[in-house]
Order: sequence, then C-alpha cells, then structure tokens
Amino acid sequence: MTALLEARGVTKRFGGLAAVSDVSCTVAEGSVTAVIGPNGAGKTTFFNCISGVAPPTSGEILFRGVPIARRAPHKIARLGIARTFQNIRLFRSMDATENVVAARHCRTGAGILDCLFRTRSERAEERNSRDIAAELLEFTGIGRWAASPAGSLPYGDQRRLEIARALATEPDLLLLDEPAAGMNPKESLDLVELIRKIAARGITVVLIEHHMKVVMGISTHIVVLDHGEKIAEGPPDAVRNDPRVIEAYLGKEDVS
Amino acid sequence: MTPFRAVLRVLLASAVAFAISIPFASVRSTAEAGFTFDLRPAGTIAGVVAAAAILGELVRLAGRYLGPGAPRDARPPFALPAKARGAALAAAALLVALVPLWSGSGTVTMATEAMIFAVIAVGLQITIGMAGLLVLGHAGFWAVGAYTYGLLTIHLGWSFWPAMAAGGVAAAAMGFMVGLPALRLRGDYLAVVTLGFGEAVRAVLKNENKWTGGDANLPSNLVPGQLRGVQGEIGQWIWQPYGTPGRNGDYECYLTALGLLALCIFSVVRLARSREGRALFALREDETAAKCMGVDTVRTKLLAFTSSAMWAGLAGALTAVQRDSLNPELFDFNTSILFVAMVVLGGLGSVAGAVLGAGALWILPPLLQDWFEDITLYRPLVIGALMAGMMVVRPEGLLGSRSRKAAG
Repeated sequence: MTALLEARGVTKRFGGLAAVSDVSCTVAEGSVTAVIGPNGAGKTTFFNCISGVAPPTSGEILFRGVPIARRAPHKIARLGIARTFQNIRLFRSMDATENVVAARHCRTGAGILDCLFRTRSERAEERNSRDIAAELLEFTGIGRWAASPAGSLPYGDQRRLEIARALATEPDLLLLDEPAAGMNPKESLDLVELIRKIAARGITVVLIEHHMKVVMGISTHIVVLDHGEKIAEGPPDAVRNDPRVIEAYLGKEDVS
Repeated sequence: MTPFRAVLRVLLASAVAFAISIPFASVRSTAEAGFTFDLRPAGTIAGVVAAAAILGELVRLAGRYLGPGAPRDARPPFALPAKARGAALAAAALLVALVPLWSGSGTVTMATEAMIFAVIAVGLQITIGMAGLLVLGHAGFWAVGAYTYGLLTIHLGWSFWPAMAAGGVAAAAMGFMVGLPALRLRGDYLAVVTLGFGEAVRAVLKNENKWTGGDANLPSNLVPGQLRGVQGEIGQWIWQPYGTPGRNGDYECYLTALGLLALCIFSVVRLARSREGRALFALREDETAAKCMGVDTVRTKLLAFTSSAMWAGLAGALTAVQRDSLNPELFDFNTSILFVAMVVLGGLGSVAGAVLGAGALWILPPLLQDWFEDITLYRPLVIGALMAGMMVVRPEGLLGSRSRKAAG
C-alpha cells in the first residue's frame, strides 16, 4: 500500500494556541483511517488543514506526492479530496438532488456562455450530473428524499446527504467529520455498512469519530490526537491498549 | 393549498388593507370643507389589494414550478405542450408590444419605466437573491450606465446601440471593481461598502459639472433637446426600413425596454438553472461547503457582481434615452433601497418575483394616486410597512422558494 496522503509536521495556531501541533502521519491508499481523541484535541482543525478551509500555519501536506497545504479549497476538491462537516453544512433550501448536483461543480466545466445557450455539451453534462445524483442518493439510502429540501430531511439522513454530496465530487480521499454524531445505535450500524460500501468502491476514507463501536468496527488504522499532538498511531488493537491513549481518555491512574 | 384557504387569504388581505387605508385614504382635511370622510378610496384600495392577492395566489401556484428550487425539467400540470407554449408566448409578446398603439402616452411612459426597473430588479436578483450578497448601492451602477450613455451620445456623438452597449460594459466594469474589495466582506459590511459606492457615484456626478452638468442636469443645460434627438435614432433603426414614423420616440423606448427585459429574464432564468447559477445558490446557502465542493468563490462572486451591474447599466442607458435629462439625485440611496425592496418583495432568487416586485412598487402607487393624492410621497412609508409585513407573513417573498419555511 502506498501513501495517498502524507502530513509532515502540520501545525495550526490560533494566536498563542496550537490547535494542531506538529502532526505527522500517512494515510495508506484504500485504508479506512480513524482520527480519534478527546473533545478539543484538534481533529476537526486537522481536517480543515487538509481540505484547505483553514490552511496550516506550518508543515506540509502531500496528496499523491503533491503539496497542497496552501491551496484553495476548491482546488483541493478538484484534486480529489472531499469532506463532510461535523455541524451539518448542507445547502438547506435546495432539494437533495440539487445539493448533490451542485457538488458536481468541480467535475463539470460548463462556462457562463454554455449555460446561457444551453449547448449540447452543457445539456449532456447536466443529464450526466442528474444521473449521478440519483445513483448516489440511492447508494446512500436516501433516494426517497430526492425532491425534498435538504433542510427538511431527518437528522440522520442529512448526514447521509452530506456523504452523497461529497461523493459527487468523485473523491479519491473522503474525510468524514463525525458522521455518526447524534445517531442511535441502529443508525450507526447502518452507517458502518455505508462506509464499508464506500471503501469497497476504492475510496480511501479518513473519519473523525467518537463512537468506539464505529471506529473499531471499520478502521484499519487509527491516529490518536490529544491537545493537538499525535499521541499514538497504529492498528485498532494496538491503539486500544496503548497506555497513553487510555490516559488521554480516562486520566492518569491514581497511585495512592 | 386548498382553494378554501386561498380564498380566506385573499379576503383577509383585502380586509386588512381596507382597515389600514381608512385613516389616511378616507379622511381628508381641506381648508374649505374641514374634515371629510369618504369610504370609497379605502374600498378601492381594498379592491386593488384583493386583485393583487388573487394574482398572488395564482403566481404562488406557478411559483412551485418556477421558483428557484424548482428542478429544471419541472412542468406544471396545466402546462401547454411546447409548441403551443411558444405560440402563446409569442402572441402575448406581440400583444404587449402593440399596447402603446392605443394606450395613452402616460401609460406608455410608466410601463417603460416599470420594465426598466424590472430589468434592474432581475439583474439585482443575481447578487442579492442568488448569491446572497446584499448590495445597497445598485443605483450607482444604474447611474454609471445612464451617464456613460448620455456623455457618449452628447459629447462624442455616439449613436444609440453602441452607446447603450458601452453603458452596460462600463457598469459591468464598475461592478467588477466594486466586487474586488467586496470579496473579503460579508453581510452588513458588504452592504455598507456598496452603499458607499452608490453615494460616491452620485457625489461625483453632482460635483463634476464640466461634463455631466452636475446638479443642473446632464443634457438640458449643455445641449438642450439633444437626448430627444438621440431618441429618434432608435425609431430610425426600427422604423426606417418600413417607412413608418415613431411617435415621439416613446414607442421605440417602450419596445427596446420590452426587448431588454425579455433578454434579461431569459438569460437570468437560464443562469439560475445551470451550473453557474447553482454555484451562486450554493454560495448563498453555505460558503464553506460550496468551496469544498469545488466552487471558486472569488470567480463566482465577481461573476455575480459584474453581470448584475451590467443589467443595471443597460437599463440606465434606456433611462437616459427615456428621460429628457439626467439628474444625479435620481440615483440616490432611496432608489437603491427601492431596488432591494423590489427583489425582497418578489422573493429572493425568483426571477418572476423580481418582475412582479418592480411592477408592484413602481406602477401601483401612481395608479392609486387618483384616490389618494399624496401616495407617491408616502412611497417610502408604504414600502417600509410592506417589507416589515412581508418579514412576518411571508419572509420568502411573493414568489420565493417555500422550502426555507419547510426547513424551519
């Protein structure tokens, strides 16, 4: 397995606070990598660094060997990195299909004149995008909401729509920010199934997650952050028994 | 959407209008007769509101298929087949084009103005409605178009079409330039910057009196009657091949405004339902998410500013033709607010709504003037009340997407 994504000493400072501090890790192609850690450990900030939403203060990020650390988010999306958001960020008043079609932006090229004259290529592109959207809504199990405004979907299905939208950008790397947040056990189980299906499509997945059942169920590799620093990394079993991880989650053992 | 509830809404609207209009439409004080009381004006207003409400219910139905969220291939159940629709549209356009032949010149002027405003409102829909960028100085772009046209024709002797195109280009360029610094701003801050731009344009036009005539109007002082002469040129272009004289230039103006409006509606509707339009809507809904889906926000915002300003500029050129003279005060802050009101009233993101809003806010007050003498003076008050009422009753605008409501 080769490294699809490589972080080298990634640091993100907000004033005096280092939200992410000197984190280096690699994500192997085809893997499902989980980023875990207590609240405020810098997991989402790390995602923001990768996706270009909040570029790192220092350090470098390589995607297929190409440095992306200071590129604009839309360029990173075009390279093949897609993400979802912890606090759902759907285009709320657009319907589910439109949400997914909108995400096709980085894989379509119709310019303003194509749009005004509805050229043959523009029409073909639109048709193709709609087909892809329909397919992705079915794939994520929310086909019945195709014509409903995104904001009116049930909570769990909004998270699924976020995933469908991210998939529409045809990513090689999918970043999922707490996809199971607020889901009940049954929904979480279904989500694990969905992530497996996504991985089976050959898409590398990195996910931030608190549900340990989800994490242990699907990840092949785990990175643990605490106070912005990487404290452990490895296969699930090794990480689970790592004393530093236990300490971060449960606190230091009292000797007395 | 039951018919019963629709009827109820219409009745309620006219009842409220009746109640509100009694104090200031029915009570009048004159020096000779003292206070007089006449219920008829209030009744008329209630009638007009009822008619508007019925129209509103119809367009609300249509809005489900024409609204911003409607999929591109959605067709209402009562839609005609494509060919019949084309024929009906052509017939309607022809009818509208022929209206001035039998209507009075006052009506023609007012209709022309309303259509010019509709062009501006539809154009403004791109920035405010679609991209969610609040622009409070749109009159500035209108002024740039109008004065570009006026200066080119009067000082350099340009003819109508090239000068009009130049008005559009100049306003578009100005839109681009205002858009550049505005890229870093959002919401209120952006609104303040654009407001400042609008006022700056007015101040420049007012104080630069060598070319623009400043406060003393553009052409009337410099070359009297020049614009009227220019106006004849459209007539030449349209009528000369057929040997039919135009009527004082008003009809040509009307036709040109109609054509411009049709072109504007056509292109903005197409924009709204295309890749670029979707990027604009995505930007309005969530900028961060839009970025992560590959939308180049800089390019998309500049596109919105530039194209929106271009329509205002083209409309401005027509305004310059239509009026005898240009005065900087025409392009003041109140006018910018009026434009925003047209867009908000009609519904954010809805093209049909913008046309409706422009028509309602420009044509209704003069129509009501017969019964209520000073209504044009009260226009700001009425608009303010209308906006406040809309925010409570129907925040998405007359023809806006209903989905935001569903979102809670």
